[in-house]
Amino acid sequence: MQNRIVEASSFELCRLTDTMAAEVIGLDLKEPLDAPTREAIYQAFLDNQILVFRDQDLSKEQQVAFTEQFGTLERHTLTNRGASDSPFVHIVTNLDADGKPTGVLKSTRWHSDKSFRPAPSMATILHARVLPPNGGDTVFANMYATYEALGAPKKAELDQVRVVHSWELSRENIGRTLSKAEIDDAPPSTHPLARVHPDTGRRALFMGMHASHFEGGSIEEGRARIEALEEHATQEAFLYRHNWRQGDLLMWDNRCLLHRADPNFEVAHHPRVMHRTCLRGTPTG
Amino acid sequence: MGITVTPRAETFFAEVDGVDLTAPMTRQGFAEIEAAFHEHGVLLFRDQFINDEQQVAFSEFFGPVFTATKYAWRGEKPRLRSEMADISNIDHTGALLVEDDQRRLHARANRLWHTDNTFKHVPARCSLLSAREIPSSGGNTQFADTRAAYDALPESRKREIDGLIVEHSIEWSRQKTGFDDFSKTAREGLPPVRQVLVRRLAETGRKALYIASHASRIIGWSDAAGRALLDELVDFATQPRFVHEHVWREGDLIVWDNRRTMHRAMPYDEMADRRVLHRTTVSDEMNSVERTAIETPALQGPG
Repeated sequence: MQNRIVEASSFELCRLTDTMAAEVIGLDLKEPLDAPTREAIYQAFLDNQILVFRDQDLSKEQQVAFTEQFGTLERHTLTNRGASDSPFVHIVTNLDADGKPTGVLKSTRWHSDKSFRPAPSMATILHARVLPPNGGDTVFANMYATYEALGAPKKAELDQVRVVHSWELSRENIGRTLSKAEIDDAPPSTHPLARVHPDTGRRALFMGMHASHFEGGSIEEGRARIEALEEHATQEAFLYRHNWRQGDLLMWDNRCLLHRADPNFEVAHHPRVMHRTCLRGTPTG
Repeated sequence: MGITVTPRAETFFAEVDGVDLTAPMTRQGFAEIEAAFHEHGVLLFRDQFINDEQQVAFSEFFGPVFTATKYAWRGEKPRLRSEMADISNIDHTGALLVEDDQRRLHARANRLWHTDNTFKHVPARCSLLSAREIPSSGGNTQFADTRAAYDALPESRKREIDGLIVEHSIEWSRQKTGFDDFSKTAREGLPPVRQVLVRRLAETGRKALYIASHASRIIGWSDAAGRALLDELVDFATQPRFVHEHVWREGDLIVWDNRRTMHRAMPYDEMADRRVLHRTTVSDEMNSVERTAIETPALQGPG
């Protein structure tokens, strides 16, 4: 699949940085993609890790239909299913039930979506519905580049490590205790730290806020090492910062990226509402 | 109840909205669903995150629920309660089945066009399949409308095949995929049975081809001639115009009428990815040959 020349006349691709992210120009995602376009989009997604589609206006059903063209829809965790009319669309919002800003922006720590699952999310599709006047960026770290920048002995060492990912732990870290139903719904999983991407065959560091510790090691030591790696991974050179525009829809590859929401706006005053769909990934092996 | 029924294919297969299968259902509420079932043959209910108990309760509205077929050679611990057929690639501990696991090899025949339980004397009226876990790609299910296929046959062909009797055997369909490890006990427990080739459906008065991978021969015909006709009918009924491919989402529940459809599973990476579906199977009232004899005065003989 790698290095395959993509031929599709239906859209243009414009690279946004030297290391990742590209804008896809010329598609209305309300319409189903024909097979060559779909393949070309998927290849562009593998090559660029983040695809940006501008000026889209999809209903929840249309976003579900767009998402499903690339694989199997993933159900969200118990609390994120909410009362939404679609259990596959998670409404990411800083508003309370009455539509007032709560002052809390979630997902501000580095993570890869649902890494605590045995088969973590392959891709996330996030569609901006209501944006603050400015800020509320999403920041991405390229975990291929992070891995590739390591020295050979370090790589050889990390290639042997497995990491325990626990939603329970990551919620405790932000001060929330899960109910038994929530823990049963999302028990911890173990994944290789230097995960081989199933489509590209490249290795990427797989960690983030659900990563608890190294399997077989102490929690304290594991946490410290994960935090040190995260510091390495989130250097400016490995980052892409997405400054949202009304109508943006992003599709990104969770298998080789970390991301976080930046609360760089007045969270207590301005609403920020996004619709999120996820595609199911494969077990990491 | 106020349900919405939206056809998703040309001749059959409809999506039903406005139903919550986790809530108790009344006979009256079920009447609308049953009418849609007879009209469309396959019904899809989305976002139904039900447990086994709720699935059995809904299934019982369609008729008596079969105890899932137990194969004598299966020494393994079953994963599910007795009414549930386990359509998955995992064992009772949740681990993926290994490459040469008998359950995996046996399930391979689900890739062939079939309809459920025609190899039993009293076959299945309908099956209900609930999607609990869906692999990241592949594993779709194709359905074929054998009622529309029957309608599309030339009149001469219809006359020729109406009234033929077919022998069905589980051993036959499994042999086709190279599974021949039926013990003598299993063979004796599931001997070949007879079914009509063309079924008349009492509720609508319509006719449908009643064919499946389990169909091994036509009574009174040579094996070769019988198999040639059965193959021809399966090929005819599975042309794209009669087929709908379903892309599963978790929470989907599909009920299909086994008497007027066939289905088959599409491949996925079953050594690496999980696919977990739970099936309940509802029994028909009686054997299809016996039913036809009762319903067709000419076959009853004098007085």
